[in-house]
Amino acid sequence: MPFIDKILESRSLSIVGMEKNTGKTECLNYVIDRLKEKEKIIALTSIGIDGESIDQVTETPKPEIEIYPGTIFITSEKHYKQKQLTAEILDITQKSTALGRLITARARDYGKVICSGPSQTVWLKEVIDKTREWGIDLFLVDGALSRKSSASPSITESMILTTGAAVAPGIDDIVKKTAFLVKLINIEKIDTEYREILLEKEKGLYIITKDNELIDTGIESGLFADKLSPEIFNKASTIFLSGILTDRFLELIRVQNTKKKIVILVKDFTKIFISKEKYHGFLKSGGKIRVLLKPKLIAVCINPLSPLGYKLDSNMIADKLHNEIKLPIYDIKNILK
Amino acid sequence: MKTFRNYISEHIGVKFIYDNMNICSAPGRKELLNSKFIVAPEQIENELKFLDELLLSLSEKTLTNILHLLAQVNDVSLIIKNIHSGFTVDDIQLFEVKKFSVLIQKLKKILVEINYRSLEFSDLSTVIKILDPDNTGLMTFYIYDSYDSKLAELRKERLSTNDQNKKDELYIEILKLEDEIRTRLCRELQQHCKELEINLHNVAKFDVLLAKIQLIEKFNLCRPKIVESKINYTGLFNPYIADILNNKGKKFQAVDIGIDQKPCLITGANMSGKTVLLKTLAVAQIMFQFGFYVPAQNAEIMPVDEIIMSLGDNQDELTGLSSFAAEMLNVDKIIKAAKKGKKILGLVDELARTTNPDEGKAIVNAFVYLMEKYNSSCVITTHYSGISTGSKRYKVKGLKTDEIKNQEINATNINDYIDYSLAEIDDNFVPNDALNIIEMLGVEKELVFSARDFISRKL
Repeated sequence: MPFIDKILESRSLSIVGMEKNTGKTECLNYVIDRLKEKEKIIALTSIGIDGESIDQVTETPKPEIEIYPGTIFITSEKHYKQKQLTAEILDITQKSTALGRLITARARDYGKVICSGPSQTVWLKEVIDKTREWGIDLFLVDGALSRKSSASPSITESMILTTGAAVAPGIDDIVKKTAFLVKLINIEKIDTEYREILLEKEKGLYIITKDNELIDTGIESGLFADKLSPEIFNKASTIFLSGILTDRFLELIRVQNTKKKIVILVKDFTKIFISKEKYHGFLKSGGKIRVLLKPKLIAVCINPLSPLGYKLDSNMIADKLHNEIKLPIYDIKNILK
Repeated sequence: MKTFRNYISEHIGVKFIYDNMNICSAPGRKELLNSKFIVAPEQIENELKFLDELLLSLSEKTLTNILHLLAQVNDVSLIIKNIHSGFTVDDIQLFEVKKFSVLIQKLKKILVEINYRSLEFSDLSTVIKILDPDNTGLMTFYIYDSYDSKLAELRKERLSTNDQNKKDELYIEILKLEDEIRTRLCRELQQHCKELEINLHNVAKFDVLLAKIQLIEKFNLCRPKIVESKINYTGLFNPYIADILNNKGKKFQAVDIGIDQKPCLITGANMSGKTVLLKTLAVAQIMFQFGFYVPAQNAEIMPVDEIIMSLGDNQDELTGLSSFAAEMLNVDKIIKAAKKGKKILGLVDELARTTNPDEGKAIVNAFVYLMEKYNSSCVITTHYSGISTGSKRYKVKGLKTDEIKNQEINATNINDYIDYSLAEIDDNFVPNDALNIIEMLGVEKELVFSARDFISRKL
């Protein structure tokens, strides 16, 4: 498959689903299968404690991922004990997630594992870097669109997005929603010496001044942005939001921004929760949004099957979506046929 | 007996020391927090010797290497305990034991290289052999094929079959066999729990020693000399307050003080650092009795059975006692301990300050008399004149009178014009600097004026 070669151009890849039931796990298993054929050594973990805790409540099992000998996987103590293959423990972290410490292990057999990895972006980066010491070709992240402060999949070099009938009832809406998300994923990355510092911030509003000085505004989040003083607006060249970017904040900056061009900076696209209309309005008024992390989106995979039972025409989705975003679109199930 | 943990919660100065210690491992932290206040002189000497020897043999580079190893040491005490009592532990725990053993062997090797022999780490090569049957030398672990030829066969079969049902069946068989092997391994390890435990204890202790060593350099601490019946410091300082001052660009003025097994009276104007002095004496004594070097240029210290303080900052509201009652209960503790013949260091700040001066002075006199009678080392600060004692008296030198002329002095810079050093005196008058000081602090002039008026009328 073409996109497997594309994947191997980068050293880390995340697979992110727009919603549940968009075929993320199928896509992941497909990618792993192809890499197996190419005899690549891969490492694998998953993020998004949000989704997991829901799974724990409803007790629907987290999807199992099929791996092959030599694959390194990183998962919590709880899920390590549920593995269905022989594996060699390579390392155990001292830090702990809600599900216990993280185990790094190497599969010595074929079989299924459940992954639950680091809960913060910075930790995920540490894990990826550390796992490289074991000599891997590619690090795979089973990603989630993080709503809160969990780890972001954008830390990986490249990304595959999965979408489909679960996202919206009609094809046009699916295409619109997906195309908009792709636009957000492709928002330009900023170059700043403060990248590492800002990535670690869990809360707060910061500005980078025209003299490139980083200042904490003392304001907790975008929710309290109306407390920003004109003084700050005069000084700032960039406003960094450690949390999420909302329509309300965008509007506030747009109104203030008539003369001074202030750039809004967020960690990555998963922190952007704005409507298409407000986003375009903001851009038209000359506003700029930038991110600290930007993965290279290499393909979009679609699952035409809705969890409600009906099936859409996957070729039609693929064509319409391709017209909008000019990226390779695949229906994994069609490929498998 | 009190632990280091107790002192951390009681003394901010001790907490400061703790916060500045670079303890690398969880067992090390546990060891320090649970370590006990040492009373026996030979035991303190022992602890100090550990530090002396380590100081001699340690280079900057080896320290970095060792710290890197220690940072990876996890607390395996519970696992050892479980194996010891016959439980079969899982792969994760066996991994921990293996990793621990490999780390210890590495540490042992470094210690042999630097010729450090004060802590004996026992050999864990047998443990490693049990958990590394293929002799890979790696820290990783799983139930290796070589543990059992049958296991190897089953795994091979599972790897080669494509039938999922067969695979599942084989996997259950493999798990069963793995369980048996695990139990066998644990039985074998059971014989070595003692060594593991000793090593865990030693590595924890070693971690604490290294943290103490790093503290010596960080704060410029000195090796105390253990003596029998006195406490003598030159250049005694308080690391916590020195740090606060340092951050403000100021310097802590170190003091010299000698305390015998007698009461020791300290007088001095307000703001002359008497309370800080008592707290400093406490911190230094606590550090000494936990086997640390101490914050001074030179120190001769006698170990005491107990340090009893009355600093007037007890949280009285919580116990429902008035400050006077709380103070008197502390004084009671000191007297009772002294009467029992305990060797104590009593530290009492402005005894009986919250009651009327007539009775107050009588209480101080009586307390000093008792401390003399029972040969107890007790440092008492007071503002009362006319306390009679044959023992040592110090006066904090106080306001630098020749420097303050023509200077703009206020609440923020007044500390710069105070000489905190002690002078031994033999009269029993205390300086009357209170009015001068409140004047400098900028307190309402009318108060100062009327107070002076009252004094002159009375005289």
